[in-house]
Amino acid sequence: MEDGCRAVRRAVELARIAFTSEELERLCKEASRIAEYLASVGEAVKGLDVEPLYHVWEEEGGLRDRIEDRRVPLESFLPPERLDGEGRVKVPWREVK
Amino acid sequence: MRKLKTAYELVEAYRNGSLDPVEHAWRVIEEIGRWEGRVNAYITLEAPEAIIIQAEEARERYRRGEHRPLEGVLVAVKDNISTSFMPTTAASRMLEKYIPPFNATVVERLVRAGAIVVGKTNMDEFAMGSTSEFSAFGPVRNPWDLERVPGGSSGGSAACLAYGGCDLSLGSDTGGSIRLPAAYTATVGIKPTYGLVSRYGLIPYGNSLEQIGPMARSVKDAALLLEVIGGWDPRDSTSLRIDPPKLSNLEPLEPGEASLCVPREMVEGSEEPVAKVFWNLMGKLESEGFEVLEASLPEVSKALPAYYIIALAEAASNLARYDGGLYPREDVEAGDYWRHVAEARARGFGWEVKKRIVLGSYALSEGYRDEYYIAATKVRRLVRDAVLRLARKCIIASPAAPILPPRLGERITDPLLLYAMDVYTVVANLAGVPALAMPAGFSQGLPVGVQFMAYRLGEDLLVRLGLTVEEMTGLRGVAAGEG
Amino acid sequence: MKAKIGLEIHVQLSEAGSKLFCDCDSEYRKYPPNRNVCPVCLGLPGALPVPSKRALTLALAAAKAFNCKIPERIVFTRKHYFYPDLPKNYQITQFEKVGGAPVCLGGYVEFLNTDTWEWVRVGIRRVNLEEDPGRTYYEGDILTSRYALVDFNRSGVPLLEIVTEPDVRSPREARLLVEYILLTLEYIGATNPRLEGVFRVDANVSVEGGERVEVKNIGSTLDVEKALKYEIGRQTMIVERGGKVERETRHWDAARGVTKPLRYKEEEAEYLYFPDPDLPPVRVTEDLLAEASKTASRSPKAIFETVRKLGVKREIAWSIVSSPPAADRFLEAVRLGGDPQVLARMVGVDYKGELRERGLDPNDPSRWPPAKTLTELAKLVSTGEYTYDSIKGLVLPRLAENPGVEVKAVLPEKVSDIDSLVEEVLKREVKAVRDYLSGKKKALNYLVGAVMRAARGRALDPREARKRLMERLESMKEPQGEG
Repeated sequence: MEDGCRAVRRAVELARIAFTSEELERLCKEASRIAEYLASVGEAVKGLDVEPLYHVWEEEGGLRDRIEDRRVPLESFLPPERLDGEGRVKVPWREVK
Repeated sequence: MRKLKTAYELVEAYRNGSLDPVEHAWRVIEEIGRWEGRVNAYITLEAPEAIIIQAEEARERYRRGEHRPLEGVLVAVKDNISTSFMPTTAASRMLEKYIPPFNATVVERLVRAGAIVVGKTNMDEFAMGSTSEFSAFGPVRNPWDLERVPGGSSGGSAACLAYGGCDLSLGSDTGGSIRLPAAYTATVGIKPTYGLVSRYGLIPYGNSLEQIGPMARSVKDAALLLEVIGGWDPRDSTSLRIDPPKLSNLEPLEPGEASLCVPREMVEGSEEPVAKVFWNLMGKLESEGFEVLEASLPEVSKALPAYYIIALAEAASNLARYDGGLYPREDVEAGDYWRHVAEARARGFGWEVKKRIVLGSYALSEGYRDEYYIAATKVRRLVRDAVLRLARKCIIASPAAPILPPRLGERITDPLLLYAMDVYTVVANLAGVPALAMPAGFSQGLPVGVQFMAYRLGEDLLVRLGLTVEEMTGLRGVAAGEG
Repeated sequence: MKAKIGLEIHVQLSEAGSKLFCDCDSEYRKYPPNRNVCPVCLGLPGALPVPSKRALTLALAAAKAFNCKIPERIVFTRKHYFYPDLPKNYQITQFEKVGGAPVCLGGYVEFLNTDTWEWVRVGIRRVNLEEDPGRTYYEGDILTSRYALVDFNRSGVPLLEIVTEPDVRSPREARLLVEYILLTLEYIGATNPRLEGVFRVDANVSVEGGERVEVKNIGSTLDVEKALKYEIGRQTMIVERGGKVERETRHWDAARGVTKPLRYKEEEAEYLYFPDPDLPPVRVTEDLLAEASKTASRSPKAIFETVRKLGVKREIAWSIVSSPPAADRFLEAVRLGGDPQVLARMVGVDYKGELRERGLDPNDPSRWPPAKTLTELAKLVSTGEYTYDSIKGLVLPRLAENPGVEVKAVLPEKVSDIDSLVEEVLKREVKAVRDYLSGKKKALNYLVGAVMRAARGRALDPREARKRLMERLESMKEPQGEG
């Protein structure tokens, strides 16, 4: 369980979601239990010679020559205050005191 | 219980002039007014005036004889399907204010077929749930029993059908999200063959598993809607290069044309009332002359965890984009980028979604990827091959859900109990095959649904069997409430 | 000190026409910020990628050109990391593990070391095709900027990542290798290496007894050499002083000409690779391979050898080959019957020189006259009608101004009255004549120059002018001797 929680904490870092310490405790409990349950698939295929299946029909995808143009202005879905004077998206970057 | 017009009957009535689209639209708007406060099936509703204007246009088109297949039919669209004319939130705070600058392909096809989009339906946030309780906009309630859930994640799309708040609806099904709600609300839902319906514009949860599908109050209606939305879309690389299926004029299936089989593993865990209704229906089919065989699908025992691993891994990836940048949150202060991202995600997502993202990252991370993600994709191959083998011989029948619709709050406290609701439905998603859920009967006044699975692109077979079953049960066009 | 160098070269397929997965422009530089974007390259929820045939063909052509092992099916993989310029927070790329398959699974390139005129072989570890992220700007400094300002015009542009084995022996060879690879891609028609920011190089470098250091962000071929020289010098010094070179990532500061440790700590990432469920594998069909082979048929090496076989000196041959339009014009002009030696000088030395002198790009096809024009000029020289020098001095500059012009229009009038020019000069340049006659032979050169000037732009063979002058001057000597 201790190990499970360490793994969950590592996954939390990768997921980039902030949790309070109480939330983290609850998450560890719930997620470890689910992870334990899900681990049964590893057991199920242990020693079996099976190829992974990523695309259910294993068909090849097509290639595109041209699809009708569908350019969109950012203003159509982004509030104007999120753009700078030149139309670039403002993403918070550094803390400014 | 009461009976409402099916979409097919509506179009007939519009065509022969016995019903006016505008009059019908008013009736639906009234139903919404009567029920919506209690059921919460919709996140966004079109303004009544806008609906009426479109209904008037439909009336004109009928008058001129220029009507299209769904002219004047009121369709509800699940809120994870992009509409450029209405917000598309996926029931998440994260997308509270997001109005997509484009329409999903299925929405384009609906509009081109003359349908009127009534509103966007409530659901589990990002389709992650089986009860429609995990919505940032409050839970959906089951019109058949307001203390109970309508199933999820397409609960809103099922509930509005069940109270007459729409004529047809679109849901999405990643692991049962169309079929569970259909079963819990005595409606019909089809999870199409993977690749039959374009996912372009569907806010993704588990891309390799999910399909948009039709929901309706009759099998024929579901077939009609699938005909409109199905077929190849050059914008979706996973969509199959086939023409729209022809499904709306099929005859019921006759005994001898196909047999049914019931895999032991897909019924033995069912609650007593569910099993009873299910076997009762199988018995009726047998007495009509259908062959109902016992079968076994041992691979199914690992289907549920394999399904969850794949869905969560894909979800963790799909939901990475919500970082407060292109989908800004006002309640997070600007600051250091990494902290801002983590805060925006902390506030924008609900608990269940966060948990699933963390688990998905876990399943893909080094040291765990092989025993989780890769192992799950191997199980998927075993399940798919077993299902395809069996489906070549018979239509696979099972209950759609192992239990009756649970009460609100009953299942969500224990995640493993919650996941277990999907045990019969995830099989079709892992295998890519089509599955139909429809009413089998009632138990204690609550709907019980049956599920049929066929081989790849066997939608026609499912529709035909559905028509047969519907004739037997008489449960066509049923709705909750007093007639 | 001996160093081991491996390179990672990122080159945009700027000539692909469209982005990798949507129809926005691959040449994004001409647009104002965020005007070359669509739902796909913005990663909006529900938008789906569809691979471009042209981009994939170009990538396969590159794989062919680098003698690569090409897989039967190409797989796109998701690589996850959070950054403001990455709209989905994952990049669609190719990866050789976790079910992935890049366009090239290993090969080699032979480039010409133009210092030693040897062909040098360097192993290619792999080549993958991926999406370029958007571009980030900062207000002032990256460390203090309140916002990252993101322009997504570049997002989704097809990018080839070429990873070499650590076979490169010196900074100079690293530069020549990069130049050769860029030239190869230019011949394929995949990229225009002169566009701003169209390629960037990361170099892995280690000296004996030290760890590997990665130098990132090298933006020109000249800087490849400079950065590596600097870095090897730095590492050598550490080792010679008895220190240890630690494994680290450094950044090339082109303005100051030094490598520096990363000031901004990029967070340790784990990329959570898995095959993109939105993109089924692409089969490398016979047709696709044939097209790629055709596209890759023009390699610098093959063309260099062809030119050399025509008896052209290697320096001039390389000058021709290093400008694809020059090579095209040259070979075509030879085919049309022009003398290879004359044409080689004209194309590889003097016309190219004219363009350079004017600050024009010799690799821009529009700067070159048609092959027919060059053949005509070469023939005029071969038949002795004009001297090479008069073509070089009087015609090439005018062609460089206006490559499309007819030969007739730029051909200089020939001097027909050479004797009267000579008389005119002898009469005017009394002092020089006297000098010559008194034995100062150098004065003759001055007088020849004077006659050439007197021709005022008309064609005059300076050898002819000298001959006539000598004759006249010799005839002037005799009577003077009498007096």
